[in-house]
Amino acid sequence: MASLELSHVFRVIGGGQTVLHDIDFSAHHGELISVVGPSGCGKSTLLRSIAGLEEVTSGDIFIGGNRVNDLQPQQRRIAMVFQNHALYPHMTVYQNLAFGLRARRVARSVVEARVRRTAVRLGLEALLGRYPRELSGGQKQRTALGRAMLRDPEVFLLDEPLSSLDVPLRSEMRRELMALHKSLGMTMVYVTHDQSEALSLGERVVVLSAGKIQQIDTPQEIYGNPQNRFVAAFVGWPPMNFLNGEILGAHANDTQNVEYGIRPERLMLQQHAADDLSVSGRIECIESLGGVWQIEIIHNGGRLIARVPPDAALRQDAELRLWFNQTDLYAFNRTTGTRVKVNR
Amino acid sequence: MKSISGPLFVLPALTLIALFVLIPFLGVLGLSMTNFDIYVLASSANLHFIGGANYAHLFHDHAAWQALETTLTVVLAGVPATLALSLICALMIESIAPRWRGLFRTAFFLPVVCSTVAVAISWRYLLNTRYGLVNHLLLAVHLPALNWLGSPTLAVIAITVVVVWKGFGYGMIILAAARREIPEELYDIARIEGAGVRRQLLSITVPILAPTLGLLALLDVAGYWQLFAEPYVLTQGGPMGSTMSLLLLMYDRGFRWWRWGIASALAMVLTIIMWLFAWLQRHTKTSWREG
Amino acid sequence: MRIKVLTVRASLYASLTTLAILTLFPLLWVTSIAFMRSPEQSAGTPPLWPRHPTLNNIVNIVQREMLGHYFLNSLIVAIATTVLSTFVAGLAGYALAQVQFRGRRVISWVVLFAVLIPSQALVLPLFEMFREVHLINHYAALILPAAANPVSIVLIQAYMRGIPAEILDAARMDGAGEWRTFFSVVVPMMAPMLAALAVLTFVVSWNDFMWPMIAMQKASMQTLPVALASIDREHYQEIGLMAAGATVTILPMMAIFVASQRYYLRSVVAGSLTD
Repeated sequence: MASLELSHVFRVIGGGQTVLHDIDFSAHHGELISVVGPSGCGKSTLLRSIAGLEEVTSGDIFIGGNRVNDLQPQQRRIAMVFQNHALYPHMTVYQNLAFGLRARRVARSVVEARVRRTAVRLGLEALLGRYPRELSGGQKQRTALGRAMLRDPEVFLLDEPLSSLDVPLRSEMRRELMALHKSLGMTMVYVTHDQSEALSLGERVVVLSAGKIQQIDTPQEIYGNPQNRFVAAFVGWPPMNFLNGEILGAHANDTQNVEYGIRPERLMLQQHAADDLSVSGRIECIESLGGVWQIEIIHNGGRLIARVPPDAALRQDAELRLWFNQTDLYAFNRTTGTRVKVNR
Repeated sequence: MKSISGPLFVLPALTLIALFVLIPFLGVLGLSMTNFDIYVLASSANLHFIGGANYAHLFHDHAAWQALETTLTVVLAGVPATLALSLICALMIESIAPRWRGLFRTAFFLPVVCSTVAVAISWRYLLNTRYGLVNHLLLAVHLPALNWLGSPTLAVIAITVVVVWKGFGYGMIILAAARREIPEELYDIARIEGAGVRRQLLSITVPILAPTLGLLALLDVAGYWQLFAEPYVLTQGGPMGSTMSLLLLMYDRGFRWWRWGIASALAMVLTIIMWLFAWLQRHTKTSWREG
Repeated sequence: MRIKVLTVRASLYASLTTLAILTLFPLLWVTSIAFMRSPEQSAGTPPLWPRHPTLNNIVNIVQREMLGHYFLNSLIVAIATTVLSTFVAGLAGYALAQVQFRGRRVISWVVLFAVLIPSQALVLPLFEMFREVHLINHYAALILPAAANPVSIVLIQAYMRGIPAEILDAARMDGAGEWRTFFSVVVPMMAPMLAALAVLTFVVSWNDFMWPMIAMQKASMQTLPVALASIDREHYQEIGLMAAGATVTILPMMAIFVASQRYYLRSVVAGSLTD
């Protein structure tokens, strides 16, 4: 039984604009699903609709098997963590953690015990008397997580919870979050605009664009087997190179209507297999990133980025031939953007 | 960067403040300890230092106590009423569609920018016993007409009403701005956690606005404490001195009877009590920012 | 649930509208009376609306009581006060926030102390000072004390602290002198705040009552509110006349406020949220 299920969910706002278009997916119990997409793609609206903070126009949402469309947020057995933590500034950590329980009129002694237990679990026990402004970014984050945990939710919703933290702290919190997910065994929906975060955290990833689901799959599949040009371009950094068929030489069914894609990290300086393909061009710039070099070449007016091992022989403005395996070549329909098979 | 421009830029303002605030303040302090009156005005040879005698006089002056009581009543009744009205209007305005907000903001703020003398004149006609509209309405619903400005108690109430009416728009603007600063996520979380509208108001909105409310309380106290034009126009301090405010009494003693020593002592008392309010406000824990 | 939301929203608008009408009523009614003929005003409670609007009351109070003259006095005083006060406070606020010099801290404290002194408590020595230099009954007696405005200085100081010092350093490195920096860089940067304070100062000066009443002993030098109060002493039975006087006093400020409320409200808010 899926613990979260969205069935043909639409949301149309005042001006007739469709913010969510036929969203249909489910997360089984204990699964961590990340939702990723550029800003304005509807991912926050999706999360807020699951939470009940916004109404959906049509379609059904099920949590733990029950249809929750008509339930108030507090009745939905969900918990939510916001980007800016949304801690009450005038309450101590303890009061922040206890607020929800108190609102549900849980007995004071029970509140006390549960808050303490959660605080110990998150390493917050020494901070219970502090106000949010006296906490570091990570401590605020843990408090917000603690508050969500205390709701004992069926589904845990996280809205870009790490994006307000600085980079080193972010990866630390990411690890903590994964450990927490493992130990709590809760269903989580994690919304982010950062594709690398979505891939590293999610057991499955939902790629969203313009209110529509582009692909739902495991991170490996999303990266290695994108179903359309949008997913291919959005996932991976630096982004996939796109070349039209004529430039590359006729390899596809219909060069006119096909666009080829190749990931920068799949381009090589040497030929490895007999049927490897190649492109050549003038080196526009070489950027050393330490252990790896990023090279930009101009090929027939098109621009390609490659990630290669450092090589002292490379010179700017020199001609360079880059090789790649045929299996690393993707092809997309130029008009629809859908993936098409590469013709060998 | 060191240059003479800094002192030069500050000089005009500093001169004005020294001449028209600091020196007069010392003047009030000095005058309050002299016997300065109409005889001194005639010949300065009559001027004497009399220490705290004016203060002692005020301590036994029934009119001074009554003025203190009246002013304090207006402050203690008016400030909470103003704050409540400001808060209610601010929260209501912030929860309607943005395009209508400006209209209501303007409506509530207009009395603030109007001349007190002019609005006091209009209120006097509203409250007039014979033909005032307020009594007209009271009679229309079969209630007795009231002698608003002729009875000591009612006159103080009427003046408080005028003061609140003229003042609440100011706080409304500030509280509305402060309310906009509260992130909406706090209310989202509260809804998820099961807090209803009442609880959101009492556990989130009001506590977070508390520092702003505290500051407004101080500003309102400082303003109402200097009550002058309303009683001057509406009642001239009457009936029976019931609406004589501290400043009105100071004006009366100073410029009608030329008893400047007494009047200055009153001005000092007024100032010191105002400082007391400011001190109280700073040391009351209305502010979670300061922990 | 939909219906409940709609009910709540409807009652919200209804209460706001009621409150707004109650708030505006004293102002609207007095304006309305100002245009009524005398039988309407004096026969019992005046109606809400003039049946036969007339300009008689306005003409009367302007001609008989020289209201135009007082209006001019008010205008002169308010404009001079606004210009002087804004300029002086702008200079000082900027210097206290962004120029390093000896005594800056002490002066900041002096300004803060001046904020705490209620200006109306100072009228006795002020009167004596202006009498000594024979400036009672001169515009200067109203303009100069009102230009000593510590609150404006504090507000500008707070506003200027928010402006990065690098911009000013850049101007100085470009070879602009302090005056040039002030007028071509600082003033444009604090223009919104200065505009807001100017409107605020103008309105406060226009409405000031106690000190103008004391300092302007000669009738011909009185400002509008002072003149209005003294006309009121004599003619307060003449409702139409007084209503016309009140209207003439109030309307310019309402117009100024409505026209400039964006600036005005910003200064009001800045005044209480910055500290």
